Formats: sequence, structure tokens, C-alpha cells
Amino acid sequence: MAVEVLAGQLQGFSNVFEPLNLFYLFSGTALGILVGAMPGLSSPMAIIVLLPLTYKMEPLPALLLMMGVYVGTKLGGSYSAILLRTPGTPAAACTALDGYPMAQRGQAGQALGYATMGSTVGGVFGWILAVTTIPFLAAIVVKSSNADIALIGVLGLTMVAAFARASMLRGLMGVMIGLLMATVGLDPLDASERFTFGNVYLLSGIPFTSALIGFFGFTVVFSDIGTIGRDSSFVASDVNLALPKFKDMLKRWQCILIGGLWGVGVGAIPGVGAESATWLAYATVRNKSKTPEKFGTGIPEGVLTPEATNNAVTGGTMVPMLTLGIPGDGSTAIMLGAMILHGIEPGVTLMTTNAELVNSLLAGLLVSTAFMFVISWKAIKYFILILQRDRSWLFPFILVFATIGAFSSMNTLFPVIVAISLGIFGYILEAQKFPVVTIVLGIILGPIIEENTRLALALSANDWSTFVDTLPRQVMVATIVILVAYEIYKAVKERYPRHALPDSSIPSGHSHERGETK
Amino acid sequence: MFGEKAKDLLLGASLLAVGLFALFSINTSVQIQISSGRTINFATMPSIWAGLLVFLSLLFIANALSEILAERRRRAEGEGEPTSRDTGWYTGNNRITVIRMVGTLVLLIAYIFLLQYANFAALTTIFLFSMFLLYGQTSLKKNAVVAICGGIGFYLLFIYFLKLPI
Repeated sequence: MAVEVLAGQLQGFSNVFEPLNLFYLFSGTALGILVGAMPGLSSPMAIIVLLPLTYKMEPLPALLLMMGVYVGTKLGGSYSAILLRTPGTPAAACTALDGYPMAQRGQAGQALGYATMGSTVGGVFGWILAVTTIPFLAAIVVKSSNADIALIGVLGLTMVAAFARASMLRGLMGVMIGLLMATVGLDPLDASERFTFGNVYLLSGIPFTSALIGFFGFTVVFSDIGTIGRDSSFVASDVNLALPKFKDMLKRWQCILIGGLWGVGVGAIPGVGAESATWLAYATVRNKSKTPEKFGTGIPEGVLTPEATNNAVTGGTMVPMLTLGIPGDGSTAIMLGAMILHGIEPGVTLMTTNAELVNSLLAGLLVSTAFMFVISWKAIKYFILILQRDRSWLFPFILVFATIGAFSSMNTLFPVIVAISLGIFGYILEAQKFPVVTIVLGIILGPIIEENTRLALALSANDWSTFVDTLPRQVMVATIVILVAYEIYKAVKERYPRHALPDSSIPSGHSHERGETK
Repeated sequence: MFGEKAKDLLLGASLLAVGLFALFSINTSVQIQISSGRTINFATMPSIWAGLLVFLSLLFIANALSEILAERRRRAEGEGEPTSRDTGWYTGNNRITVIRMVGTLVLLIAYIFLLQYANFAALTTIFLFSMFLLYGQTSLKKNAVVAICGGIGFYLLFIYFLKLPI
């Protein structure tokens, strides 16, 4: 198996090192750093904007372009976190705690240097874990039956709802909306019409590209219109990157290890995302530190840890995406969508039917991390210059990209109208703290869940107990039940907190300090 | 004008309506029913999702209602300011934001409808120029230069290189 993994990766690297693929990967990484650096713009939005450009590309270059953006945004977010105290991406919020104080003391270059090194090493860590885990996991899941695949889909959606940034109730409602939207059109098994209302355009369902562009493009622009024109005060606009020495990095090996482990572990759980991983890693390193009080005052460990975690997440999210067809976050959801648009079926059989693509994507992950380091090392000044530009110039261009992207999916106005409508819908939902990523995941996983559920029932003569027939299925069902039950318990506990009872054994007025007798 | 919880109530009611509508309108067109003999058919999964959406919407509405009632009780007992207060959506900066949002929608809709009739490069240039003005860029010369470059750039990218049939 190890030899196969190595051979696969070598094939992957040889594909990635083709000049055109390298060009797309490099361009994507540079764009990703730029987008990540600009507060309000996100990796999903950047990938969505590129979607129309990829229609005529082969699948691998298209996905490498998106992979580059995905990796680049992870570092880019730290630039504005350190220089503006406004994280470019939610996951970089933790970096601002120590990065900004360092910049205020005139150590912006060092802070950016630690961020760059942390991201690079974390990215390599994530790649190693992804490469060693994915082939083994893929070999297990390919033996899954229809019932297993359906349950994996339901479990994935439940986890996304549970770990999304809002309440699980909102997350589950988002999932249901997405699942319902996925049923529009012709039924895949019976060819019966569902929710078409006689409209011929809806026979093939809600255009998938429109949903992606609507929720990740238009919604974000509508949500961020209020931030246009706000002044951003740079703590230092003329910065030279100061990479830390090897011995300084070695001294802080625990930060990298803890960050890497949290990043990959949490990244592999659908829906949790890099934000949670960075805070968990930061808290772990701070608690283990001999000087925890220094965290938050501007120390390198406070920058290194979240940045290592951030980029390790990219390896973690590859695990469910490439083995189960379940995206780890919004960016990987769009990448999965791009695979579908290019005729590749993601899911448990991807490693079997398209091993070369999987290995190439993993190789692309490592090469993109290397590009990210080089770009940051040599060209950070130019990114900082662009960071100072107002979003009033940028948003109109994004809107044109999104509009043409939606239009060119079907060459009619219908998908554009759908995209704008979903953009408005997504804006209303986001304003009320509904995570729209759950809707997109519902749209992606809905057809997989439905088709496999119906096939599983057909094979078992409509016996629903087939979903709890084997131990793995029982574990998955139990996990789903536990997740939902825990959320209900948390909600009830918040609504009806238990008040502390007065301690009747201690008379009032007496101190409770240690050593003092009653 | 509306507190956050009242907005939640409105949204919950809307999603409840969507769920109920979906439950009863899965298939409104006349066609041959192929699968009526089987237990699970084309309507089963949509019904399950719609039913769950209805159930979750009711929970959401109940949650919002109970928070609204709790807040009213707190205010009646004089326990301080409401916890969810509307920020005055049509005042100051909020007004500018609302104008920009409405303006963005109007310009977008006009843009996509005129795409069928007007030259892509020219229309995109006008769209970009209008958007820059809407977003507060007051220098007409600068707006025009950037808009023209943008229009030409998009034309080259989408029409010339990618050959999209716009």
C-alpha cells in the first residue's frame, strides 16, 4: 500500500509540474493570498468568481486553480490581521491577538515572517497527513453499500449543522432548505417532475452554478456593501518580511505540532472549519505554556500556532472531500461542485475511478503551499499596497464576474435571475445568522442521500431496518442521535439554567478561603 | 422598526409557509405516475424534507415567540433595556447602505436584461461606471478610465479568449 501511495504521488507531481498546471496553481495561490488579505472577501467568493473561467478548462487545471486560491487565502488573512487588526478571513482572527501588538511595537515584519513560516509548515503537515490517510480510508469506504453511503451523507449534514457557527436549529433548517432545493426537477429514478410548476427551465433542477454563485458571490457582496468606504488604519504600511531563523522555529516546535494536529483533525470534520481549529490550538498552546499571561501581548507563539493550524486545515478538509464526497467547508463545497460540473462524480468511488486526479490534487496542495511561501517572501509589499484599496472598486468587478459566471452556465438569463434571487435569500438568512453553507451542502449531498436511500430500500424490500443492520451503520445512527440530543440538551440548559442553591452548612459572612476553619 | 426576534419570527413563519407549500405541491403537473405501487417514490424524500422543515420552523417560531414574551416581561418588570433592539435601519450610515443595496439590485437587473440587446463591452463599461458612482467614488474621470479598462478587459477575457456566447 505504501508503495502504491508513493507511486500515486509521483504521478500526481508529474501532472502538476506540467507548465500550464503550474501556471494555474501559481496564479490561484497569488490570487488567494490577495483575496484572503482583503477583509470581507473570502475563499469561496474568489473560487466562485473563477468558476466561469474554468468551464472550458480540463478538470485538473480548473481544480488546481481553485486549490491555489484555497491555500493562498489561509495565509492572506493574516496580513490584514497583523497590519489592520481586521482579519482577512475568520480563521485569522486569532492571529490578530498577538500579530497586531507585535506590529504596533515595530515588529510587523517578524509577525508576518512567523505567519508565513507557520502557514508553510502547517500546510506541509496537513499534506503529509492527507497523503497517508486518504488511500487507507478510501480503501475502506469503497466497500460501502448504498445504505452506508446514505448514512454517511446524513451524518455529514448533521455534523455540518451541529458545528456551523450558528445554533444547530438554524443549521438543520438550512440543511432542509438545501435538501428541498435539490429535489427540484426530474426525479432521478422515476423521471417524475417535482416542483417544476410547468416551467421547462426547472426540469433539470435549480442550476447548481446559480446556487453557488448566489450564496457565495451575491450574498457576500450584499452583506458587505455596508463596509464600503470605511477607513482602514494601517499600523505599518512599509513592511519588509523578516523570516524567523531555523533555531527560532525549532524552539517553538510544540506550536507547530499542536497547530498541525488540531488543523488536520478539525479540518476533517465537515462544517467545523478553520476558525474553531485555530482557537482550539491557540488555547492548547497557551495552557501548556510556562508563561500563559504573555499570550495576547504580542509573542511569536501567538502568531505561529493559529497560522500553522490554518493551513493544516487544508489537508484535513481533503480527507472527507476526496474519500466521502463530503466537503469540509465552503471552499471545498465549491470544489466538489466544480468536479460535478466537469463530469467527475465525487464520492466513495473517486479514489478508484479517478486515482490520478486525487493524487494530482494532493500534489497540488503541497506545491501550492510552496508557492505561497515564495510569493509571500518575495512579493508581500505589493499585496500590502493592494490591501489599502477601497472595496468600492472591487465589488463591481466581482458582480460582473458572478453575473457572467451564472449566465454562461446555461447561456440564458434564467440562471442569473436564480443566482440573484438566491443571493438576496442568502443575504436575508445570513442577516438572521443562518449559515448558508448548510444550504449549499444540502444541495450537493441531497441527490446522493436520496438515490442511495431509495436503492438501499429497493434492495432490502423496503425494510428500513437495513439502516441499522451492521455495526458501522449503528454507530453512524447513534452519532446522529447523540449530536441532535446534545444540542437539544444544550438549548434546554441555556433556556432553563439551574440556579445555584444556597449552601446552608456555611453561615453567611464566613470566608471560604483555604485553611480557614469554619 | 423590528427587533431581531421579531425578524426571526417573520423568517420562521416564511420558512414554515415554504415547508407547507412544498408538502402539498411536489407535483402539480399532469403526467403518468410510474411509481405509485412502491412504498417509497418520487414524493417520499421531498415530503420528509418538507415535513422536517415545517417541524423545525415551528420550533424556531416557538423559540422566537418565547424570547419576545420573556423580553416583554423583563421590560414590564423594569429590568432594563431590551436585549434585541433594532438599530434604526433607515438612519445615517444604514440609509446609505440601504440605498447602495437597492441601487446595486436595480443596476444588476438592468444589466442582465440589457445584455440581450446591447454591446457587452459598452454595457459593462456603463455598469461599472454607475456602480463606482453608487459606491461613493466621485471622481468622474477616474471612474471613466477604470470602467473603460474594465469593459475592455472583460470583453477580451470572456468574448475573445473564452469565446462565451454573450
